[in-house]
Amino acid sequence: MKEQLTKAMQLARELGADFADIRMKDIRMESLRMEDGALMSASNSRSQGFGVRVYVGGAMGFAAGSDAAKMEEVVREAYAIAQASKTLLNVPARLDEKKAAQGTYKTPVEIDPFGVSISEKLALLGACEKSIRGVWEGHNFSQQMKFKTSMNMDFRSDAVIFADTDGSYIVQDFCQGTAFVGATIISDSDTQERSYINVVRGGFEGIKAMDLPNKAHGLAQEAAAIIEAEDCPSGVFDVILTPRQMFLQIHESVGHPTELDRVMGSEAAYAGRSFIEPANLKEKPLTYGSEQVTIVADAHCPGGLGTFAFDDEGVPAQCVTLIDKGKFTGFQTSRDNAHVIGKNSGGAGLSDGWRNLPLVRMTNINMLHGDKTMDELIAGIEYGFIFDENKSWSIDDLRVNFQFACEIAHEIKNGKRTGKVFKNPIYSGKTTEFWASCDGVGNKDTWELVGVPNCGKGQPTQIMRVSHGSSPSRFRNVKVGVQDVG
Amino acid sequence: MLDRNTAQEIIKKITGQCKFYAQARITSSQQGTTRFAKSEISQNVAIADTTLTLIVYDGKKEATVSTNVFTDEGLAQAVKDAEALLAHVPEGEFEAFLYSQEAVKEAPYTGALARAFGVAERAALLKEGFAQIEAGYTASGALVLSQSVYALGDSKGAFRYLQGEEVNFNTVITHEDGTDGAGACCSYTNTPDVVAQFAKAQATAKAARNPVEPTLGGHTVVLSPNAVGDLMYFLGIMFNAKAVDDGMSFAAGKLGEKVFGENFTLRDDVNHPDLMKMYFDFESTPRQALPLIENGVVKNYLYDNKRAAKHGVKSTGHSLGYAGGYPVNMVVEAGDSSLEEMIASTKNGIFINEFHYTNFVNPRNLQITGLTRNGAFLIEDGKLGSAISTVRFTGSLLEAFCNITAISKERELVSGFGIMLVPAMRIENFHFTSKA
Repeated sequence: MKEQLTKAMQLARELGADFADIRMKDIRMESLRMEDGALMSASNSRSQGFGVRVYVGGAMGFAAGSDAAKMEEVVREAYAIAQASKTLLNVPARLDEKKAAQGTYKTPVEIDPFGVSISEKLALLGACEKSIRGVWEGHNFSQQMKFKTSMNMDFRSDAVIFADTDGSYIVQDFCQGTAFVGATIISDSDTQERSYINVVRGGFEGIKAMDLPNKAHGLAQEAAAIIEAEDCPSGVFDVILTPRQMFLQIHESVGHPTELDRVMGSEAAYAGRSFIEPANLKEKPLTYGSEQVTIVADAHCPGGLGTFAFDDEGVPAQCVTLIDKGKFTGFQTSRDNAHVIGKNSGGAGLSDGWRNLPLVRMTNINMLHGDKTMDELIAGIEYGFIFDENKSWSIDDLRVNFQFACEIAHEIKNGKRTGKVFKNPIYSGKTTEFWASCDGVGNKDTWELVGVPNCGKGQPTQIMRVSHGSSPSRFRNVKVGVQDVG
Repeated sequence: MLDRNTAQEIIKKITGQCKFYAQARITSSQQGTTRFAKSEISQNVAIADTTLTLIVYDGKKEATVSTNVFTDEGLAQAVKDAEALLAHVPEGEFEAFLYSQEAVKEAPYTGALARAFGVAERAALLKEGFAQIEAGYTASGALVLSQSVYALGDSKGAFRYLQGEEVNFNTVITHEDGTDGAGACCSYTNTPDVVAQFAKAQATAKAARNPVEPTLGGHTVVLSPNAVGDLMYFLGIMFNAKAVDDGMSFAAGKLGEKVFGENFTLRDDVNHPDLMKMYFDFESTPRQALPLIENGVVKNYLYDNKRAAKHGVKSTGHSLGYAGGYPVNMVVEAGDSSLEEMIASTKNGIFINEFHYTNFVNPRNLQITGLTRNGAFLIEDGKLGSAISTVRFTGSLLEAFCNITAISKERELVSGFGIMLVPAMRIENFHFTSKA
């Protein structure tokens, strides 16, 4: 393979390319879906192909194909597209300086998930089903209900080879597993679900570590509670967000706005822009949050979906501090935009598969832990809530005004949980005001990594896999509910 | 692109290698996307891929394998993998639903869009569009040509083939102060006027400068077809019979009930001349043209084979390979007004050009949220006034579509779930809940 990719890169040079690179990916997936204890589908898939990116005179062309026998044809097509791009070019693209890279990487895997039998995987999902039904059968509901369970287990491996005209050649193998458990109760007028999903890099041991049957038991109990609960009160309250909501708060209000390609307008007509500008690094310092808030883009994080040795541009993995004790300190960058802030790429040039070109994508955007226990966070609230598990999200074009809904709210009164729960909690805010209101972050023991398998960006749309680690965090004076105020 | 004979040969070859009844689907696509930012081409890409999905059945056992490796070895491996998987899965609820061989209309394919929107033609059109952009403004967006082949068949000789093409264009023109205006067009059939959309976006961007803050609460809004299309996407997926069964749709238990205003009618119409002509679905079932809402009354749910069997009805031909049925040819019935008349007859209101990041808050009561984007304006005494800054709405479409007070005669094709044909609308008491 090395010989074929090297020849392809030589051809790009011979055609007149200033620079070219190629990503060859072989992706295997296995998927099991169960509903109400019955297997709905069992499938596996394989997709292999390659994408070639060519720069000529500062103009870029990209072509992708699935037939390796036609690699030369695809290189020529990418070159021809770059020539077409040159006809509408104002400022030639500038890639950062990068040394030729050689290396290999493999996701640490203890148990190959593709070697685990279908029956063992189904047995694990079956145990979740039994756990949920057991709770519901013993529960007294005030009215006739319909019950529904849904479960998935998915595995994916990516064998990736990267080469470029500078002589780089990198081989990386990634492996990940996903588990989802949903417990849904349907009344005449309402539907409430409690669910758990996580995606982790690693082998089947990662799925086992999720302790799914035990989690399913808790989900069933909480689903039974919220279907008959009151709506969460509206008003201004102190709230604690668990890591299973924090992941999306970080994703939408820190992850996306700190992508430098968005800042520079590449996504203006699609995913949107950002309220941040390059000058916020020095000339116009930006306070993003309170001193409790330190957030990094860490491509070394164990188990993270954004963990690798090299990104899809052959840039080594890095840990970039985006927010340091509340002060904005860094952007996520790739090779074609890092020069804007006078730096080399931060190693965030990633594509979702062989078909697409690398864009700035989140790696593992993690909020560092604080020093509080969960009890200490709760003790600091006179009246408020713990919001758990995201169910709805929306944020504006510039990533300022957000609104999230969660699956469940746990009431806090006089510094203690009351045991009462509410359904349909919704909260909203403005990014920097919200992060500035963070006055307590959970300690190391409460820190949790949550995988996001569906981050969309780019045209054609790329669906990326990213992770976010965080601890439960306390925010003051949060707008809860959607009354026409504020 | 994959021609009919080759597609049929591949399907015959792979299903013929299977020990059991087998179905195969091939999706083949070529996409050329010219993306631009700051009035220059920023990304220019061509992607080609063909994927085969093989489904094998043994009684009530079913296994699915997909591959894009079309060598003899690749296809043989897919069969081997599918049969190995089949040996390990438990029985499901149903035996195979054999692919229909009922005759359906042939969809025409001319290749006219492919000829008009090649990589060089896309660059030339953009150049023409950029020429209209005034000083201080820049354009971003994408011009995309998609060509596709969809073929399916089974080991009993069923075979269907469809070749199609589509163009999608969107642009946002931004002033250096950050205000935006947008234009968009799309088509399966006629050549869309990309250059005219640049002019529309430029005019909107110019008018959008110096926005004022809107007041929150209920407002009369006039929605452009693009904004209406965004709401239709969320409404359309609610007719999936699986969403209904799962308690994830407002339409559960509402068949035959009047839930919207008398003036609101929504159809899924494969026979409409401007929309996609896929006369069969992903299970080979002939696609029916059906009313979804007729004068405010819920008329139909959409089914695939399995969901239909659960309900004791026949599939409506709306399978997309996922569970349940989906509308891909939505048409909102035209009214008797015009966008200009709607604005002229509104004393105080807000015109919305586009929504952004719309999402369900609660599908059971059709509560959704989203924000304005790329041009929203006050309507004062029947005229468009100042632009307003970004504002969030949150509310139920059950309420909003009971409050439609005008619908335009003119309709536009809007990209969403497939391509939809939608008018402009005026809606009363539309709730804005927070400012950006």
